[in-house]
Amino acid sequence: MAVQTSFTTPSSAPEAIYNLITALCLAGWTIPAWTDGTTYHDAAINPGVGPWPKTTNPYAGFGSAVSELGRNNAWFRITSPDGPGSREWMFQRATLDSTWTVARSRTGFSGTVAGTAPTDAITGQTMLSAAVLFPAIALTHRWVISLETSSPYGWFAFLIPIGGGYIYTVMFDEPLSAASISPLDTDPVVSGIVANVAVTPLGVMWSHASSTLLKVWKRNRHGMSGANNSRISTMMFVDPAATGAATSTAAAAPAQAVASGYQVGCDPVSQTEFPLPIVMTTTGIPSSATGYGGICNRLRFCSVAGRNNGQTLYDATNSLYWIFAGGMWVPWDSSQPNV
Amino acid sequence: MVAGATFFPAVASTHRWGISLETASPYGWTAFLIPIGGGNVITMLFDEPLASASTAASDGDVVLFGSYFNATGFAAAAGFTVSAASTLTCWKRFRHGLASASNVRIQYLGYYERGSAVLVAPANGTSQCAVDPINTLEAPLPIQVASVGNPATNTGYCGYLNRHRWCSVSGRANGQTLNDATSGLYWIYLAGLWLSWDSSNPSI
Repeated sequence: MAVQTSFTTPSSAPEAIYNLITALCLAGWTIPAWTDGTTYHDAAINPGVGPWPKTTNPYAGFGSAVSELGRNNAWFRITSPDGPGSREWMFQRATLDSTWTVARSRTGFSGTVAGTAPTDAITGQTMLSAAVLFPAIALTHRWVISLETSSPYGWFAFLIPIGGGYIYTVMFDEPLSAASISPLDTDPVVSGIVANVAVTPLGVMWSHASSTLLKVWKRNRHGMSGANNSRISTMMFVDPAATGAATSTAAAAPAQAVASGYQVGCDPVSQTEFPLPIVMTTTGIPSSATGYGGICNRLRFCSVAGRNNGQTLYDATNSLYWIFAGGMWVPWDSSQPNV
Repeated sequence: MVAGATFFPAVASTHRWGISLETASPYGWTAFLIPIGGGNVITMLFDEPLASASTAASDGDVVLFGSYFNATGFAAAAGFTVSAASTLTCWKRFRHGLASASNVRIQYLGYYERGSAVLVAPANGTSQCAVDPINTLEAPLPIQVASVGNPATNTGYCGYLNRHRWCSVSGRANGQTLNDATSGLYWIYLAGLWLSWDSSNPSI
């Protein structure tokens, strides 16, 4: 396992997505098809402009010139290094730099029309549809990306103002740990998005079937009867003595309510915080359609209140950092980014 | 933990005394008393080490110890609660061998869904994590342990347990077992808690 990172200051939303493509390709993701909104490219159309799928960013830039990403309806597919059919994301710029369609498919998208986003009616899930994904970010924000370079991969990207502040854009592809899932689960990955909604540092990065800030999906029972894409919840930790009416302000992790004192706190010997594993499940009466998913492979909940977005936490065992985003700790490398 | 007080009801061949022990370092054991045929858990006593991956390397006492007796006992519906004021008392020795060492009551943290505002593990009624929709099996959930509150130099995070897990599906009965197909071993249910068991399926 190795964590790869990308830390840039984009001049526009298309540049942020352009940088995401570059980072994903460096981590092993590939591009089977892309367009600038007017011209379509894939292995069949451009067999001599190989290799296919593209292993590096195919765009000439992020502006509005030919072959660049910042053009109306430009779209691309990007496939997990686990191979075609493992999972794929699709991004399409709408009519503004800030507006995008974002979708995720288990088996891959189909479509060869340059200005029309490809689809997957069976396993596809639209996460955002031609809506605002980014605030105005002309050299005012850091675009922070953490990627895993070995199977089962996974990545997390978020946008934060220079100097710190609220996060408004988050996207992630998060595999569930092998030890926590059913061996028969052929899509043990959750996909999440925050689209231009304020993520304060106060532990707000939790999801639920109807949460409006962070939305997370999992494909259940892929390849079986009753397969479905469903919203899934992050399980938080509470002090059992605070359950009931007090619970909503008493979550011990992600730590949030500094005044209430409800937080797990540090280990009193090492004075170090322990990032807590995040269990993903769709709660409720047992069913054959949704339910327990597993434990996030990379993401953790913060258990000490008072952290700021972009703050880091050192993991002395692995000599790596975590970086804080709205109550979650995201794996980082051995560098300490200056947000 | 108990001082000259009642720790057992009358148990003349009327109860099962179940004991689960780990035979390799860091060892650990849990014992419980339950009426023959099932019913409430009346007595519990345990010594349970925390998972080494979750504790500070310099923690000189990474073990929880707890006890419980109540004539009524814990009903099956998620009665097992460990907090600073719970009827089941559980301690950890913090900072053993260091300044300000102390024995402190700790909490077993539950799993909570913020959106629906319910505690879902230990499972209770309709509030539950439910089963894996593929194999319809329950996943016993790791239990994080801490002394919850503002950061302090003498208490705080402890670690998580391997042999105690939260039940995440409602409707279990005390003494019921759950098979772990991967290991071929069972878990045995105690009022919201799954306790590690061997490959036998005890008849309560």
